[in-house]
Amino acid sequence: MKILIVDDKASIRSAMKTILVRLGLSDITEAVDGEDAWYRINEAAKKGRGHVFDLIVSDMEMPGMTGLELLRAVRTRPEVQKTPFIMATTVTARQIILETMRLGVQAYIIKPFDADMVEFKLKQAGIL
Amino acid sequence: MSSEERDSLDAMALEFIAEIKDDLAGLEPSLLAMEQKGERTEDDLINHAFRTIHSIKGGAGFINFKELAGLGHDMENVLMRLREKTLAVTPDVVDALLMGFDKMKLMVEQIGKEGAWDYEKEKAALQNILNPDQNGFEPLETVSRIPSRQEDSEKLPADAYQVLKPLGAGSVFQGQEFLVEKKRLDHALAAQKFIYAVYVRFGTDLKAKSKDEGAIIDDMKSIGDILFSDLEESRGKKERDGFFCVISTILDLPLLSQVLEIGKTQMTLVDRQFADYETLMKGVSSRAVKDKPALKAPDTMESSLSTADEPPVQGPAETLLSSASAGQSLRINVDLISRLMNRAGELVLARNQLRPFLMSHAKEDNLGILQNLDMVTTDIQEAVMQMRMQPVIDLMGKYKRVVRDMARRISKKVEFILEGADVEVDRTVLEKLANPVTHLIRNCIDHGIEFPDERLKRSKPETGTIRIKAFHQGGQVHIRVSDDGAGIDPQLILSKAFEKGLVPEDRLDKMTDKEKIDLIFLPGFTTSEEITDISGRGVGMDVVRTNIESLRGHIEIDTVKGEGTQVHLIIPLTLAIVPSLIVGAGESRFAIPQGNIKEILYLEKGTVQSQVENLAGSEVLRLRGRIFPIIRLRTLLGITTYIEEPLTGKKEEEKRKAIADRRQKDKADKESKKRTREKDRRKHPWDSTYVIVLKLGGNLFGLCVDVFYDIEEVVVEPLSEYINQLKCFAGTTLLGNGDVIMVLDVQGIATLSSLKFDSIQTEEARRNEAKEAQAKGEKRNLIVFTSGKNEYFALELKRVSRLEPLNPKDIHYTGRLKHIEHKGHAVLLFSMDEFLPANECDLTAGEIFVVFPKQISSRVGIITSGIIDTIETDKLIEKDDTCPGAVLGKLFVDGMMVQVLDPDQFSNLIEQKLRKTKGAGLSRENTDR
Repeated sequence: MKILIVDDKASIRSAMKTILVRLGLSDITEAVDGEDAWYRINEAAKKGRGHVFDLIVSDMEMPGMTGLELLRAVRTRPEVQKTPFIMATTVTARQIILETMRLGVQAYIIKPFDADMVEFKLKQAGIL
Repeated sequence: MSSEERDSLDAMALEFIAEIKDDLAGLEPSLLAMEQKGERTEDDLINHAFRTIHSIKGGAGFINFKELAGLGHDMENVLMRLREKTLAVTPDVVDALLMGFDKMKLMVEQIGKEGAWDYEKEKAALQNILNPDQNGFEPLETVSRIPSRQEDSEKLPADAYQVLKPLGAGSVFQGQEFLVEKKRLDHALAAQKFIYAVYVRFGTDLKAKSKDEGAIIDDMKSIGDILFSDLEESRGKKERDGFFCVISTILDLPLLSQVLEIGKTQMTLVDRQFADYETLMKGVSSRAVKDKPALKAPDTMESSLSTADEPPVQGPAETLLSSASAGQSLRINVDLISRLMNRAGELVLARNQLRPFLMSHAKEDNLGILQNLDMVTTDIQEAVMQMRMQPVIDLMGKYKRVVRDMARRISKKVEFILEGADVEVDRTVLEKLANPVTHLIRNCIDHGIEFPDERLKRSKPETGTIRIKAFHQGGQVHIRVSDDGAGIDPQLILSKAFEKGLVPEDRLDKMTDKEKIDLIFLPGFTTSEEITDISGRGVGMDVVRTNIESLRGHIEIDTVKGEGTQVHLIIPLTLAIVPSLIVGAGESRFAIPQGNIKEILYLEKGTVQSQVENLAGSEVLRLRGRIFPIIRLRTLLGITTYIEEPLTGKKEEEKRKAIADRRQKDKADKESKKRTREKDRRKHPWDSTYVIVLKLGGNLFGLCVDVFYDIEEVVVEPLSEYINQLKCFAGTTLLGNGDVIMVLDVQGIATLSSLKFDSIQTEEARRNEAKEAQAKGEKRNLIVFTSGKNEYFALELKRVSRLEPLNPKDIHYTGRLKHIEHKGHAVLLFSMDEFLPANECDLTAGEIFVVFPKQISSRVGIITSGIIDTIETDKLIEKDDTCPGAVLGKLFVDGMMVQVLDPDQFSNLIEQKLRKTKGAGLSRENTDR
């Protein structure tokens, strides 16, 4: 399972990666912000079905392209629009949540997260 | 948890902390900028601040640092309001934010120690800014019980429904039950969604928020599915104050509450949830209660610090490695860099030692190897040097805040500008600059910038400016700290210094302004009457100078009273590996850092004395119009050189001291012809010499050496303690051939030789002025005399040979010619009226003089009826066409109209007259007795 972790903070990416690896998911790519992620998603899509990401875990607040914008981009591009997407953020602003939910996410994780929480959410999302 | 796991989590915690520190560093300038711009603050700035605090809050949560997270949350709220423009950027707001920021900084610094966790004051300040209407939906009164069996429009068999009971204890749900379609429920459960029962109040949840039921239903549909709703039923029923929903969603309860804007007490899970109930409870329950020993900050730090032997990543002392692409950075241990640096230095030396071997065994392919080795070694050395370089802003950035706080404290208005923020300086140099620069800034604020009202009086802007400009030049870092304040009064300094007995009385009126200002650098000097708690007493500029000089740099002050002061710091870029020119004096060799060298001159034998002048007591050399002092390295260092008498082989001590010894060229030639050994390195003293022109700040001076060699990259080792008081040396180094030689310190040499740059400049300027004045010819010395009554004439003094007083009785008349006797000769006298339209010379005037012009026979003189004065004037002489030929022009001096004679024309006239007279005389003589 190919997973893309998107967050501008290395510490968060590192934490998430550690947790995912412990849950047995080791094919992990990291992106440092929305644009980086979108670029990688597109590159993967170009290579074909075998290379697309199976899951995107993204932060919301990032410089440049936010997680929400990334989500929107993903959901509007045919090749990747069904990609399971998990938002992991501290943002609890009503409008953001509504927007995110309208676009469709498999989980909305509130930071700080720990291994148990991530595991639960992945199970809830049907990933694990 | 295994110890491995614990360690990696500790490392993670450290990483989070490091990131929080970075965030804090980036936050302060933003807040300060917001304060400055106020209403005009750009959205980007606010967003940036918001995101940063958001990050900090998040990071704090990860390391379970509740207080930091809490404070971050409060600050975030304020920024959110600013973002939404429901709050304006006012000084109060920024004050509260800065206060919070300071506390955050303190909290982070205190991690691992007994902490200043209490942030009540800051919290109060922040909440004062906000109106207390955020967060939380208050739980309300109980609702009357009603049965909730749904009368649904879809007629389905009874077993198609499932009864759900709310799990929570919220009073609103007491006794409630809900019927939902099994199929839909199962569907939701299969998708592992949460199933909540929610109570929506018409009044407080809808009307008060200007929402209608449709809106909230829509929202619910956006975030999940509605499995049950008794909205239709409850509408219009007076006893019902709200309606129930059962919804399935992936959102956790807090999020659901947030989205629907309904209090958490009005929502609860129902008794049917998906299979893994345990996990459910774990996943959903409040995180604050959970105990995560590994990520709890204070404990973690203590344990990791106490048990760790040599952990791979040190905590606080981390370096940021920056590369060309912004944002690509790496954290590296400082010790590792130092180690790498030392090795790089040794590599350079090893290569230097290897080189001669390779060169002597040079074949085609060897040279290629050597070149490659050279290139790689130099590259490594440069790269490692780069690693230690830090942008100046790392030190200077904090001054914005310092200046703001200090100025406020003493009620002055000061702003801080930094130019050249990304100029890079070696890390250790930057660290050592901190104290001196801070002190300089304190001085600016304390003594430099005036109080606002005083500034206005002087037509200056109310807010003073302190500017730091950093730039590279000539292999050195220049840092200029300037202010537009009151400047320094040299007289004031002088009097203070004199009071303190730092200046002897006989020097008082011999000092230039610059010398007076430099008195500031004397130890124990201060001009502040009061001991301000900012600048302190006696910690003065002498300490600053010592600090700078310990970096092998130097300091200069420029100031204009009333306008401002500029302190110029010049520091070498690199401390360790320095490309240097190897020179020879006598039998010894020395290294001169290349950065100080401007150029190298060659003075031919015998020409030395003609090119070297003496000015203001120093020997100087003139180069392309610029004049600078020149010293001989041998003399300075007391190197005795020996001249070998070529014929006898006897060695004599060379005694010549001054460079421009009074030897003639021919003697030099004679001596050199005597020498037969061409390869003799001990050059003859009157032979040519090389002058290394050195730069020191804005000054130049020349150093005479006998010979120079290559430029080599040398690793400068510090002087051993036994000789480190010798200011002329910067250190020692090892040459490729294994010799140990001294590295010269240019500043030290200048000081040791007591080079008086100022005096030389002043003297030179004076001479130039005089020359200019002469060349332009505007300043003339004129001698003004009368002839007839009230008529004035002038002649340039330099065209006058002499003046003699005349007694009219001594005039011998022969016809119309007048003669007097002068030194046994007869002198013919003329008066002005014989050449020009003028009145007859008044011979009855008191003092009659004879003016003897130059370039005319000494037997001719002009009678004047009086010498008025000798005047110096640069007034323009108006050339008049109405003037007779011999008059250059007319000048008005003190109310007199003076006809200035054109000396050449005048001479012509006299010559003509003489010829005529000769003729006449001859004829006269014939007839005379």
